[in-house]
Order: sequence, then structure tokens, then C-alpha cells
Amino acid sequence: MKVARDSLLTSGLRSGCWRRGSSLLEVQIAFALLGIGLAGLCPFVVMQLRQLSSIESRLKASTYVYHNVGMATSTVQSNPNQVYYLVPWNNPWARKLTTRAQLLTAGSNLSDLLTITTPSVTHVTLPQAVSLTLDGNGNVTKVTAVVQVN
Amino acid sequence: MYLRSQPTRGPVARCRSFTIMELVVATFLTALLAVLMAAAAATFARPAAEVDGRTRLALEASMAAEALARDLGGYLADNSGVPGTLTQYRFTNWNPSSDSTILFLNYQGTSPGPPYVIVTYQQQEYRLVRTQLSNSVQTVVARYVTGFLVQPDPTNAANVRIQVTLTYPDPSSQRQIPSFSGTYVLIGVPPPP
Repeated sequence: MKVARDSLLTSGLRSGCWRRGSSLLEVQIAFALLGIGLAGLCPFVVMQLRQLSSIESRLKASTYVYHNVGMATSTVQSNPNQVYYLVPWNNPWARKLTTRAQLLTAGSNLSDLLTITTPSVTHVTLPQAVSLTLDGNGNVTKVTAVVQVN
Repeated sequence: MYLRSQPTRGPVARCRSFTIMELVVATFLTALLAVLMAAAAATFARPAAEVDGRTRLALEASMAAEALARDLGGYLADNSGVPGTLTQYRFTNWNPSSDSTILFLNYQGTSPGPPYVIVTYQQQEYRLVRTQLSNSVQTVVARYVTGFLVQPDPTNAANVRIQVTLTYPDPSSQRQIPSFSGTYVLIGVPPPP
């Protein structure tokens, strides 16, 4: 009669119930996979923050005040105190038709000409209805409009 | 012939439980994980919350600025689809209220002279409301508004200085902290004559 004396087995037989644990290699592989997974999430986080920042950059406040749990209230001043100007167009017809002022960071728009020649009296009429030319699929291929300027 | 050694009978035959050392190690690792999670939250969640708050404020401020830009463009924005001539619905002047909380915008009507079409901007319960007094149509142009101040521009009295303060979440919300507030300053320039 010969009794097997395997050191690996006997080491797990302290109380007669053998349980095999994880080897160091398995743990390392598990951590490596976890790290790869977490690294894969980082680009999404960065992309989200960039998109939010780009949305935020549309209109920046002059001051930001942030209150958070366990933190002192922090105030951030924009550099220099951000002010926006609502500047109407110089051309009266541009003002009339767009009905929207320009949102600028300066008090004037240099590309908007100051001297504009406009007829004193301009009257534009549409003497007849606009006619459309359709193709076989019902798509508009031609638009005809007659405009009369007095 | 090989014989496997048999476990002894009695209490020692049961599967063993955790040792105190294993519990200590597990507790230590759990605490370490909690610390790492807290650090991750501070690193990612807090800036994300800040950007979220600033973005919400920027969007609301953008809406308010667009509404003001339409009304300060030189002509009445909502003229019922009848644009009229260059004199009709033309911007006449503005004047803030005595307490600087209401902005009055006066426009020419269909005929020269009074009655004027009057548009007001004022804060109502954390909202910036635009009201056209001729037809009493009210439009909410921005939310989370905690401050609205209108006064002449100190550097140029012909201009009007509009200061809008937004807070997210606003004080009426159940969640008060964390909160984010931003102040936006808009200078209205009168249209050329």
C-alpha cells in the first residue's frame, strides 16, 4: 500500500476539506482585464466633458459661484468680466427683416457698414403667385416668382 | 495501488470558515476600494457636475439672450406676420422701471405716434417672462432666473445694461446642494436713427 503525498493537495487539507484558491496569474489577468475595461471608458468620459464644454462656451457668464457639499463656496470671475453687446444692424432693412440684434463681445461690428444707401421709398410687390414646376416624383425643379419694384 | 489519505472524522471534517486574517484583509480591501471610489467621484463626478450646471445656465442664458436680441434688433419681433414698412413696428425707446426690475421696450404701432406697442421683461418666480402688453401674451424665455436687473449702462447712458443671474437648481427645487449660479451681463445698444 502506497499513500499519495502530493504537496499541493496536502497543503489544502488542513481541516480535511480541500478548496483551491486563485493563482497569482489568474488574479493578475483579472486585474489586467479590469484595467483595460476602465481605460476603455476614459475616452467616453473625456469626449463627454469636451462636448459639454463646447456647449458651455457658447455663452460664458461673467461670474460663476459654485456651492457643493463639504466644500467652501467658490467664485470664478471670467477674464475680463465677460460682457455681451446686443447691437442692431446698421441697415434698416436688415433690422426689419432679420429682427434680431447681433450678439457681440464688442460694442460695434466693424464689418457692418455705417454708410448705407437705401431708397427713400421702396415698395416691393408680388403681382402674381409663385409658380412651381414639378417633376414626375413631385419634386420641385423650378420656382418662378415675378417681383415688381416701384 | 495508490490510496488517497482520508480526512479524519469528527469536527475537523467540516469545511473551514473564514479566518480573522481573511476578514481583516477583506475589510482592508473594501476600505481601499471605497477610498478609490471616492477619489474617482471627486475626479470625474464633481467636474462633470460643474460642467452640467454651467451648461444648463449657458443654455438658459442663451435663450434669454436670443429673446432680448430679437426685441432689441430695432423692430418688434412678433408683429403677427405683418412686417409692414420701415416705420411700422419700429423700436422707439426703452426705459427700466424705478426699481430696475422691469425692462420696458416701446415700439411704433401701425401708425406713427402713440399708442405704442409695449414689451416688458421681468422676473416671475425664477423665470424670465416676456410680455407683450397689447395682447397680454406672456412667454417664458429662461428658467432658473434668480436675478434680473436693468439699468442704464454706466459707461454709456444711451445703452441699457441687463444683468441676469441664473442658479441651477433654483431655490424652489428640492435639491439645494450642490448649486451653481452664473451672472450674465448684456449691453443693449440702441439702433441707429
